[in-house]
Amino acid sequence: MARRSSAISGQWLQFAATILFAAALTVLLMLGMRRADELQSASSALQLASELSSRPAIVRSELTLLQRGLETTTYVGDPLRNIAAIRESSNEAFPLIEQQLRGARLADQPDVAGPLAVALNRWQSLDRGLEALNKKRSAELYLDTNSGSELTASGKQMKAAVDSMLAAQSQNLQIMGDKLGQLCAMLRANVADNGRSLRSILLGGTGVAALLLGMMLYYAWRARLSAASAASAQRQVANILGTVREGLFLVGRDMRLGETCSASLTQLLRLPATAGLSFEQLLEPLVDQKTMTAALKFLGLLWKDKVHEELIESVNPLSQIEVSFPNSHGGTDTRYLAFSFRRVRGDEASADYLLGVVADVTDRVLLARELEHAKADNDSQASLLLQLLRVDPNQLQSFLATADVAFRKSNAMLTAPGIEQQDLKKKLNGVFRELHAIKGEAAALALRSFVERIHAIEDALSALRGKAALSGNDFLPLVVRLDELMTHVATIQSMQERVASFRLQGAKSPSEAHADEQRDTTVINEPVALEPPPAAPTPAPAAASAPASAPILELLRPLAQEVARAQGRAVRLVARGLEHVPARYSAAVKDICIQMIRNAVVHGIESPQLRAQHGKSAEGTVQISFATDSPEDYLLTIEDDGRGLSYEQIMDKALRQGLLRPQQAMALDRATVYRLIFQPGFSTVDQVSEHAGRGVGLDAVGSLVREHGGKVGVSTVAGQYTRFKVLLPKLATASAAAPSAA
Amino acid sequence: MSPESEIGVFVNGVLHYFDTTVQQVAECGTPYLALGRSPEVSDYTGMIRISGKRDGVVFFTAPKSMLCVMLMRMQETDMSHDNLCDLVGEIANTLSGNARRDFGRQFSISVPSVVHGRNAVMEYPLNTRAIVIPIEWRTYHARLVVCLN
Repeated sequence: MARRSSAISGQWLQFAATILFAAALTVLLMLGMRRADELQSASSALQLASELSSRPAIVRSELTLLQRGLETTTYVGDPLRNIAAIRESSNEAFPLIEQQLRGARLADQPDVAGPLAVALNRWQSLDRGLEALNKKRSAELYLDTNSGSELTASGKQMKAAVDSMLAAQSQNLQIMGDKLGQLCAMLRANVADNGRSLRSILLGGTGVAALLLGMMLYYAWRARLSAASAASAQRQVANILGTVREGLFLVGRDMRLGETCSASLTQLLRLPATAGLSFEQLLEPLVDQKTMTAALKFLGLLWKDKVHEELIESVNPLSQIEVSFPNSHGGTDTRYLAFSFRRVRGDEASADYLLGVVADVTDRVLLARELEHAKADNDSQASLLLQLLRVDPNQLQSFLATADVAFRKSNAMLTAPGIEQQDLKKKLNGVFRELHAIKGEAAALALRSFVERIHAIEDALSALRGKAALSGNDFLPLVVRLDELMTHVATIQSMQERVASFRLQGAKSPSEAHADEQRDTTVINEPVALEPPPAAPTPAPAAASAPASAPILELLRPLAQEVARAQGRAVRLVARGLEHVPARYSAAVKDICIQMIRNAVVHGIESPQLRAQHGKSAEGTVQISFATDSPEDYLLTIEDDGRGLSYEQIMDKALRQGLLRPQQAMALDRATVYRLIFQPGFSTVDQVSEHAGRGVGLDAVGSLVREHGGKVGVSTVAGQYTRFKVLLPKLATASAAAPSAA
Repeated sequence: MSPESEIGVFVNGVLHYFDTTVQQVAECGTPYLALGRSPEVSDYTGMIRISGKRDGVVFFTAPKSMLCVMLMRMQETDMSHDNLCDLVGEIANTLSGNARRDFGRQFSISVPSVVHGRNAVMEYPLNTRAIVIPIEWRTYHARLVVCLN
């Protein structure tokens, strides 16, 4: 601001000096002109006076010639005409001299006016005598006689007058000549003075003019320098605006853009030009109406001087916007733009403009996202590691192997040919069952990473189930997620190996290693707080059957507690006979139990409050038993003391899902209705949770039992219990089994 | 853009090609993962390579019989090897065009190339499972394979 103020005062000084010099020059020129006028007048007066000063001698000469002519009676016409001419010119000259003297401002000076007045006086006296002469004509002066010419009376009078005049006016002529000579001297001196004075004035004027010219040249040079500097600055600004990557623009109070903006602006916003646009028009193709309104309000705030622009930057709705531009291939490019605004203050305290800066922050945003993902991956890995550390390695290994098989099985289903609707639905349900079973086992092991991933896939699969017509394309997200799950299995496998390696490295001595081994063993075989073993002796397990109850129970107990916690229930798990599960049924029994426990807790066991209202203990009970009494089948029983199956609810849901038509429903017995719960996609709860609600669990159980040639049945009493009985053949068969209900 | 959307760009590109150029709708089978071994290639394969944000290959592979019928549908009478190569090359070019249109500047798409023969060896990115999308047209089976890491 100081620089600008200095520049303005400099301009004023320059202007004042120019005016001063110009005024001085004008004054000098006016003085010079005046002096020149005086000089001219004085010169003219001098010339006239000089001419007059010779007149007395000429008059005397002419009078003398006239006298001689009269005496000799010769022709006197010429002297008379000369005298008349002298009279005339002299009579004209005196007023002219007076006039010139007035012009030369000398009329009032006594040393000039005095001689002139005396000369004029003497002339007038002489002129009266001369006037009388001029009245005579030459012809009247002579009379020709025989003896020659003689003077007439008039001639004689003239001769007498001439004689008298020569005698009388001789002094006058002398005085007149002197005075005029004196006047000429005075005028000559005056002319010389005026000439010197005029020369001085001209010199002064020339000096002032030279100064003025110098000053003008200096100012012109300065102006040229300034212009060059301004042009250079303009070029630099143009270079900056043409080179800077950010889009720079100004917004006035009328919300219109300034005329100058950076070249990048049009490139960034993909606009042909921005000149003459309003800020609203600039934003219109980029943002929705809501953002536009917010942006205009934000700019409105910036115009208020009391608002701190740094503080409101955080509410800038344009700080990062996602925009889509059409690309040259007919598609769209997604870019991220960041707008920021600063007030531009001139001399005034308030802002004249807002400087808008728009930058393409796509790379930054994408990098930030990648970093975020990397961080999330790291967090996820750390979380995963913690999860793995809590899981028994053998159980984890078993789970990973099961999961890998299930995923390959799912993929095999997808690989199978068939694009008809029933083929696609079969694939969908098959994959759903496989994944749901894995989810149950993952939940039992508290492997949240698996549960969450599969739950998300189940969401997508559930949506597909609701579609009227499926296409192969619909399975694309499923395959991508399946790929991710398999990668996840590999990641866990790798982490588990590293954890195992770490454990081995930590074993510094054989005794410590042995202690670790003991500890691991203890963990696996840790007794579970279960119901006391049944009083009735159970048959010894078959030689081929490895005891599997401990690992299964290790899975089931935390699962029951986890599902109960998630559902707001209190549950006690009672198990007996699971130690007799033969190895070939170990996985199947485990999967069936997992699904049944989840079903029992979610669908069967009531909330503690509801149980209290019904006179039940707050803690619900889920009993699992595995009996080997029958010579043909193993019997797996899962029973809960919850609300039992609701015939009406199942019927209502089946009608709503279109599994039954109303006419069919009237004809069905209860057992058939209860069998509906094994249908794919059937669930009596409306709310899908991580543990139930998709109608997959019992479908998976039914499918699993069928795979082993077994049977599954359900019996229930409303408000008291639900009991599932699963028969698994002792001899391996592969017959399809239909669920039964009692 | 999610991975399934990216793959969807290619699938829709191929289906659209059948719909508009061949003028007979093709259907997409259920996609699956190529586990254990590389996806099989058929008689003619049109391929593009993708690099940048993701790296890998995308190819359309079809048997000669299918391509011949496609050419007939397109009123072509020249069933020469070169013309069959041109056809799969054109489909690969369609894939390339769609990728350029929808993927943005973070992807670099190669010029399409064509390989011939069922024994052609394709180069896949390491540690990446290919996703195979069966393309069913009339009685013929082609495959779109997307292998991006």
